[in-house]
Amino acid sequence: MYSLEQDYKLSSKNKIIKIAFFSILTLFMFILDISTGPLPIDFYDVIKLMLGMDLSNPKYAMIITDVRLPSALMAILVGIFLSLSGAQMQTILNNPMADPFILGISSGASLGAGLAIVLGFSAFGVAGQYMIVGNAFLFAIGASCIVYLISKMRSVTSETMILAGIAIMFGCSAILSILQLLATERALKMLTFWNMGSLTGANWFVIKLFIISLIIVLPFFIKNVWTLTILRLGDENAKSLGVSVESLRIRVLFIVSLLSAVAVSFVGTIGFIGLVAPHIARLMVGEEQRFFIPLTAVMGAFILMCTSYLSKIIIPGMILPIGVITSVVGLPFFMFMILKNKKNVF
Amino acid sequence: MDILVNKLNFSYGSNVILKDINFSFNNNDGGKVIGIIGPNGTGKSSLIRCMAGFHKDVKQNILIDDIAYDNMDKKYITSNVSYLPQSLNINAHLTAFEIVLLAYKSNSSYRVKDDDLKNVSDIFKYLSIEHLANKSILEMSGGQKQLVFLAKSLLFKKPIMLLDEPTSALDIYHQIKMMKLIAKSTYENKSITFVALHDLNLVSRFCDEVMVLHNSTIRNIGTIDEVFNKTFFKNVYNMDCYIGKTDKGNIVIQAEDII
Repeated sequence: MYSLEQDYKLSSKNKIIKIAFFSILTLFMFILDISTGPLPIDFYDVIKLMLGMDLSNPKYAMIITDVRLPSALMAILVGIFLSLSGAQMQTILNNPMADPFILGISSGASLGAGLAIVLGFSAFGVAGQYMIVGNAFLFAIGASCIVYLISKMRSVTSETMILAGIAIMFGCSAILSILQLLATERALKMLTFWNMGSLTGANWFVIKLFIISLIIVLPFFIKNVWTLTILRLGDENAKSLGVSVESLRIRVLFIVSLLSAVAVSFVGTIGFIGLVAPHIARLMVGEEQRFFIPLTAVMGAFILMCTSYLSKIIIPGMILPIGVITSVVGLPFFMFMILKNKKNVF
Repeated sequence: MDILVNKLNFSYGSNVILKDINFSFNNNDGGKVIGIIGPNGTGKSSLIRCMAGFHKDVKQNILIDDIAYDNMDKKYITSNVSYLPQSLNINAHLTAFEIVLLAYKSNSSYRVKDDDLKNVSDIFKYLSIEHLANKSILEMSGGQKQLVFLAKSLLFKKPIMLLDEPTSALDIYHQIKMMKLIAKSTYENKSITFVALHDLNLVSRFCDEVMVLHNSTIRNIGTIDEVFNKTFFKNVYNMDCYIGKTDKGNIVIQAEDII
């Protein structure tokens, strides 16, 4: 018998199938990415190793576990982090143009990295390998704290938050310009490379850090799938259903800041994913967040996995900065999506 | 249940929106529809938002069963008061069914219960808008959105309903249909329903009582017969109006000219 309940259940099932389909596709790209590199490794060898079987050539096993696996896992995690951040920025700001960096988080991170690279200044007081990362993270979090404070002084609406974010962006980029004037040629090059975004810094320690961050924020998303969906009905409707709109915004702001600050401080600014992955997910499963959040995450991982693969094969023997590829590949795809859905991209 | 608004003053900065608002209504004799009318900018929407509990500063001035909003758990307010905003400018990728379902999910588990699905399904049938259920809100006209959000407001049969211009985007057929549904639900559930309206013929036809806001304060509260007369329209709207009765006994108001 036909009924609206059945319609709803059927459409929910369809959404789950879509999420599963793209998860499998991501897994495929993951294995393909690992098998690709200056030294090609057989696709099935990678699968064998994943399943815990020994490889005929132990050198391959070492390349996979020490180099390629961390870098591929990193791509997946960064994809998840940035796409989730972007999705929730769009949700709390009610703005389709929002991405993880709209509130000045990446500008803060760039400034932090710039201070470390050019002046050797470390806010944490740590030198060496993680000086740039530490600085970038601290300044990224600092940027969102300022956004929070400014919004708190007026009202926690999307307008105030976006304006505060823009102010921070301009402020940071002004200081960064001065730093660039002072920088040596080598430092300048390093800074430019940092800003392009790259997965080359991946190692098991960093992966663990990412996974811990993810474990910290996941319960929040699971707990708030419905209130976040309700927020999309506008502040007044949300309030009338008993959602504490302002406090939800602030909590999401901090979660998103944590996710994107972790991502940006380790891999630099990888743009576009945070904007485009949520858009695609939204067009495919709508905005009921219990489907929207997982598909956004999977989509982010999938896109970054594809770009990671492309960054290796475009110029054989050289790995291009992934941030650049993301924009170059993402742009035509994004234009296609916009033109295809003229009426309701958001 | 009764709702009391006591010495309510409300302003945005130095801009006074409402001053010295006092009234009370109860549902002891069954449900009633109360029309809130008045010229543009007299504070109808603000009054409704205050009663929905959105403004912290006035929470001590609004009482349900003698308990002020600021002494009440927020959940108690939301479970007794439903609110339909005037502006439904929503750009979410959600279907009508998903939107109405959200009314059940503000404070609940990840899973969707079968009972909830059935109730949502029933409210679509009750309003005869099943054809809208699987349509995205982005593809809907203003009037269709109003019907969907009415469904969401009626879902819980709450004792107090606040509807801010629910008919503003509807054609004449749907205006009457909407008001009939509001009235039906009000009497069936013994609700106290406040409806802000501009269409005075809808007010005279469907409201049991009318509350007139003028110059930021309440000018009259009473039945249609008590309030609507030529002097009233002159003083409040600066209009010269004809008031008559149809064959079926409904009061009609025709604006003749601006004074």
